[in-house]
Amino acid sequence: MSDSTLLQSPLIELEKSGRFQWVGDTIELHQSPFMGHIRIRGDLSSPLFVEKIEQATALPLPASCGGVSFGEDLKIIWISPEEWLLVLSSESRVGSMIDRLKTRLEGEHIAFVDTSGGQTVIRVSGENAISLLSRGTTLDLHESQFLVGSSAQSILFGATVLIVRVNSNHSTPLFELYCRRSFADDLARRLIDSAQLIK
Amino acid sequence: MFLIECPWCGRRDQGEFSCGGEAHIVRPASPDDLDDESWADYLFNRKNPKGVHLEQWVHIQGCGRWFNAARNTVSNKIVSVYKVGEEPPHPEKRKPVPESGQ
Ligand SMILES: [Zn+2]
Repeated sequence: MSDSTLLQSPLIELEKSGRFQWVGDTIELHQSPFMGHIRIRGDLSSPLFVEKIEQATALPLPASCGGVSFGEDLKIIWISPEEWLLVLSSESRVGSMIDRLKTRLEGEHIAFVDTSGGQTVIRVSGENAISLLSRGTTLDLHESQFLVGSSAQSILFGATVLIVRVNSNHSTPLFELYCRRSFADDLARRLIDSAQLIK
Repeated sequence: MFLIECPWCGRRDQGEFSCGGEAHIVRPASPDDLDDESWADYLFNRKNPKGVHLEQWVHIQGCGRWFNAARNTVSNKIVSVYKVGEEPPHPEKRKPVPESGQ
């Protein structure tokens, strides 16, 4: 069996050819499947833990709710006071990154879990992206409340979703939605249904 | 909409939280020494007050952390939230807060 038959996009049912996308006048939905997702757990009060994570990733470890560190092709998202999501551009980079982290933090009370196979990312962009997401969450996503470059884990259209506001473009905001792959199809369909109601 | 203040994430909708029942219930140090009545009391009997109740809550859809909340069972008003291991709020603050207009 080849790798291509093992690796199947969570939105395979919605994909006619190529990667999932839905493009309307003011909203666009795209999936970024097969990214690397590593759950990091550790103690923020340990200087060694913070130092080594920052060395290995070349990014600051966000210390409070909503914090995100953006790098060239990776980012670190705050999940809880002792948990972070490290996102890599490809699932294939996960193994070497975990090895690197483990070597640097040997003997520390830490955990790294590769959740790449269980999660996917749906990107929502366009001038009406906030109107669309607001139909499925109680969070106030206006950028005066939900800052550009910040994140929140909450409920979106009934699913547990980690929402990240990525760019600083006021007219066409971009959000990344991190969700479990088993919820992705339902979430994408609900996003499409709601997007069609927004003119 | 009922908002709950997570000690780590701030004010969020109640749908993100689950209640874990009464807080500050300590497991008996030596269960073997207890009679059936005391063991049953530990397992099953709860305060169920009309007024401020100290409860465990978890921000299950958010940061996933447990914390304690002092909630008035009549008005649903949360008097204060505090982290696990911290002292409950001063009893003065636990008096039922009169609802406006009453
Ligand atoms: Zn929280």
